Parts: sequence; structure tokens; C-alpha cells
Amino acid sequence: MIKYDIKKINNKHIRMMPKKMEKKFSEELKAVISKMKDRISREIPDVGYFRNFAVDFENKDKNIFARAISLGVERDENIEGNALLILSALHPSMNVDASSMLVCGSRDDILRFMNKDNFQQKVREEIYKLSESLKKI
Amino acid sequence: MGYQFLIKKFMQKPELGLNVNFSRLTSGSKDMEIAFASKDAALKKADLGTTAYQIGEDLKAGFSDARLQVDNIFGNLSSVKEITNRPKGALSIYTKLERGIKEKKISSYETAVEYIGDGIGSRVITKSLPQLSSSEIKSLIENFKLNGESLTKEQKILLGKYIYNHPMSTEEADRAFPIFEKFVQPLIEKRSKEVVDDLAVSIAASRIKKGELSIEQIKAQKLLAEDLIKRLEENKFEPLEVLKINNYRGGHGLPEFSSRQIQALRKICGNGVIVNSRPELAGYSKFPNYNYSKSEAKDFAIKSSGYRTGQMNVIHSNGMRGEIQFRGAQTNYFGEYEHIAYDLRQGKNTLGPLFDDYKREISKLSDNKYARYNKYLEECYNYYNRIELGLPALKPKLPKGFNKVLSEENMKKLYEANEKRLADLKTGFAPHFVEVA
Repeated sequence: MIKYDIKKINNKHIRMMPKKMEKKFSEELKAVISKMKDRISREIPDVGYFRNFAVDFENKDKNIFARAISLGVERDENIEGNALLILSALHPSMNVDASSMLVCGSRDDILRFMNKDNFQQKVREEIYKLSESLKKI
Repeated sequence: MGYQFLIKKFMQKPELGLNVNFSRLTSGSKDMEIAFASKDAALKKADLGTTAYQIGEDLKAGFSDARLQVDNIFGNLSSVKEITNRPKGALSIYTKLERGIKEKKISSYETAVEYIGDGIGSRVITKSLPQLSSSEIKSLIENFKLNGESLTKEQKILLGKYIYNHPMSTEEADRAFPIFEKFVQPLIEKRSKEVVDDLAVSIAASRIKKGELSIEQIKAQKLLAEDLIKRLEENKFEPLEVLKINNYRGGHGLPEFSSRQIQALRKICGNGVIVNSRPELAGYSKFPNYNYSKSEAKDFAIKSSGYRTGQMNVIHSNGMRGEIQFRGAQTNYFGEYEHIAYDLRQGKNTLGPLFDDYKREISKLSDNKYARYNKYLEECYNYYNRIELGLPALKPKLPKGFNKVLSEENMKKLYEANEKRLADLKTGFAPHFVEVA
């Protein structure tokens, strides 16, 4: 049972950006992946504590039922030095998000996974899954 | 052979007397023809009733295998108090389908089954922890480390105030809660460790069975702790496929499973599972660049009642869709009647006449006042959850300006009286249709 009131969702509340500032979804996604790779390289140390972090973008694609998409890195609380790469989609109500883990492991494991040719396509497929899941809330 | 048409006397929606499976009434019945004749509106209701009935029958057929599976996984754990299971009844299915149709989410029998989701519901109720003494709490605070460091003197005072329910400003409470949440993490995990461990092994067994994972991969990627891998190798586990995990809680509420436990489950589930959670409770900014204005935030204000449960959508080994909820005994009992207000606001109405005064009061609440009422219900959840964790608990009072009928104490009384009333009405129960020679 979902306990969020979504009756008040109304498209007029979704902020619109000027058209010239709008990027195509795939460009936004590419930029976020690139930023995330950069931050993973810089912020996950070989040994020791690091803060969880995320990068995101506002979704403009009407085929995707989400207000924003984010890629986040969470410290693995069970294995020191490891992390989980999490993809999240924010429900239009902004009260709940749906997320799935893309990969877990060391910094190098994660970067290796992100550098695969089909990574962006994989992320896109996962976003659609999350979008479908959010529709059912 | 014919059929005799009877109305269940305890039914609270008379039109549900139309819940009939056409295909099983081929021998015909005059009474049935009367029931379904004439008006279109009545016919639509009959169609919906038929669908609800049919889904209910299918669920009943798959119920015993699903129940056995849940019992096999969790039934022998020492931390589990009891397990309850039920196939969703036709009345409940009907009400949910009614809502789904209004939301245009149902277009066929298959989408109806998917929309129902929790067709076979199971609850795994865990035992409470023993009450902590003040000296134990003092020692826990002294030894507690936040991100690897001991607390400062001010942090210790703040945490102590929060633990002992001392009055504090909203700002202070907002600062204290993240520390409190980390502080109680070992208690949360102590209560649910056995359940999460067995769940993780069952999920692993399911993925191995489907050929998605091997024990070697689990070892190499450290997807399970070593002791769990050993147990998995013994091959005594019932496989369970998990589709979605919800770890619901209120703003200052504690989850059933800790973030560490959710991570462990995520890892063994792989990317096949979706976790729903509240973004502001992640402990870090999940959507750092997506800001919204105060007026938007107000428009989308959380209406949550503090509803807390660990909840999973699963596919049982017989292919039936189900939902397993994990709760403590105290919050589970409160949850039995807490959801009444939410259901009423969502247009779900399966309540008996005893609730008329309550319904009237709920319907009178403005959105703002309803939000305040939900805050009160959230505090009740937190109160009961604290008892389950062995922490000091102070029962919240209904805020001024609300009719006493809305108090938690009254909700409990109404719920218990209604349960008794239904049990009495069911005595001498007769089904809708009985075969007659």
C-alpha cells in the first residue's frame, strides 16, 4: 500500500525552462554520466571514508514519468571501501523516488562498468523501468 | 442443478451481491437473470464484481502453496512472533479495482491482476526487543560513534533529550533525528537480522535457480556475507523472487530495515529490484540540483501518516503475485486501524456503521488540518516502534482542535468493536450462492 497523496499533481506546477536551455534527454544523460565518472574518480578514495553523493537533471522527456533523474554513489555499509552506483527517478509528487542498483564494487569496478560501450543505453533502459514503476504508485 | 441466490448479511456494500462468476453458472438461474438484467450501470457493476470474484477465486487456488513458501522461509526464526497470510477477498479486490478503473489503470483481466499486486498478502511479525535500562542507554550513548567519531558533549545532550522524549523545538528535533537514527541502527538490525538474512539467502537461491547468478559470482562480488554463502551452499532454502522493496516510514520515523540491510538486499537482488523510498530521508542529497520553490513544496506536501513497514512485492514459486510485509507486533496492531483515515481520504470505503462519526469528522478536515492529524498518527507509530526497540516511549496526545472521536484510543476501540461485530455477523455465515438439487 502506498501512502502518498498524489492527487495534487498538476503539470502546471512543473517549472519550464526556456527552450534554448533545454537539452535533449540523451545529452543530459551523457553529461550526468560524465560528471559522475569524474566525481567517482576524485571522491572515492583507495582506502577510508567518503561521503555519499549524487548528480541529477530535471526530466523534460514526456515519455518518462519522473520529475528528475539522478545517479548516486552510496558507501557500501557492509564492505569498507566499496560503493553502490544507484539510479533514481523522482516521482512527480516529489514525495517518493524509485531506484535500482546499477553496479557495486570498488571504485575501479564501478568505473570499469561505466566505461562499457552500452552503459548509457543500459541506464536509459533502467530509467524506463523506474518510470513504469512510478506510474503505478 | 440450480443455484439459490443469497445475500451475505455481513456485506457492507449490497451491490456486491452481484459478485458471480458467469462461466460457472452455465446451468442458469432465474434469480441471476433478475440480478443482471436491465440497467447498464448495474451491468457494469456486475462486470466489475465478476472480475473481482474471479481474481479472488484464482488467489484462493494459489494461496496454500504461497503460504507454505513464506512459512518455510521465516516460520522457524526465533525473532519471528507470528506469520499471518490471506488471499485478498472479493470485497477488497472490488474496492481496489474501482479505484484502478477511476485512475484508468485497468483495461483487462491481466492489468487488473497486476494492479491488485498484493493478491496474496503475508505478514511476518517480529518480536520486540527487551526494554533498555537507563544505565544501558547511558553506556550506549557513551560508546556510540557517528561516522567513526565519538559524539561531542552537545551532541550527547541533544541525543539524550531526543531518546527521553524531552520537549524540543522542531529545529532541534530535525538536528537530533539523524543522530538518533544512526544510534538506533544496531537495535533495528538486531530485531530484523534473522529475517533479512533468510530473505537474502532466499533471493540468492531464486537467482541461482533462474541462472542469473552462481555461488562463485556471489563469492567473487561479495554479494553475501560468508556465513550466508555457507548456508546457501547447504541448499536448504526456499527460493523467492523479489520485484520491489518499500521501506516506508514517516519523517521522524525509523524504518523496519536499516540502510545497511537495504543495501545488502539490493546487492543480492541486482538491478532486477526497485526500491521505493523518500528522497529526503536518504541521508544525502539524491537530487542536489533539482530545487523546487516553497509554494511547490507546499502543494506537494507529504500527507504521509508515518505509515511504517518493510514491504516487498514478490512472485511466489507457484507464479502468484504477492506482498510480504515485515513489522513489529505493536506497530502492526496500530496499523490495523491507522489506515482507516487514509483509506477514507482515498475514497476506499469498506467501513461499517460503527465508523460513521469517525468518517464524518475525517471528511470535515481541511487539507492543512488533515496534515496535522497525520503528524499525530505518525507520532503514534513512533511511540509503538520505540516500544518494539526497547526505547523510552511517551504516548502522544491528540492535538487541541480535533474531535475526540479522532483519537488513537477511540480508533482502537472502534476497530475492536467492529471486529467483534463482523465476527458475530459471520456466525452462521451462508455463501452468496448455494447449489440446490
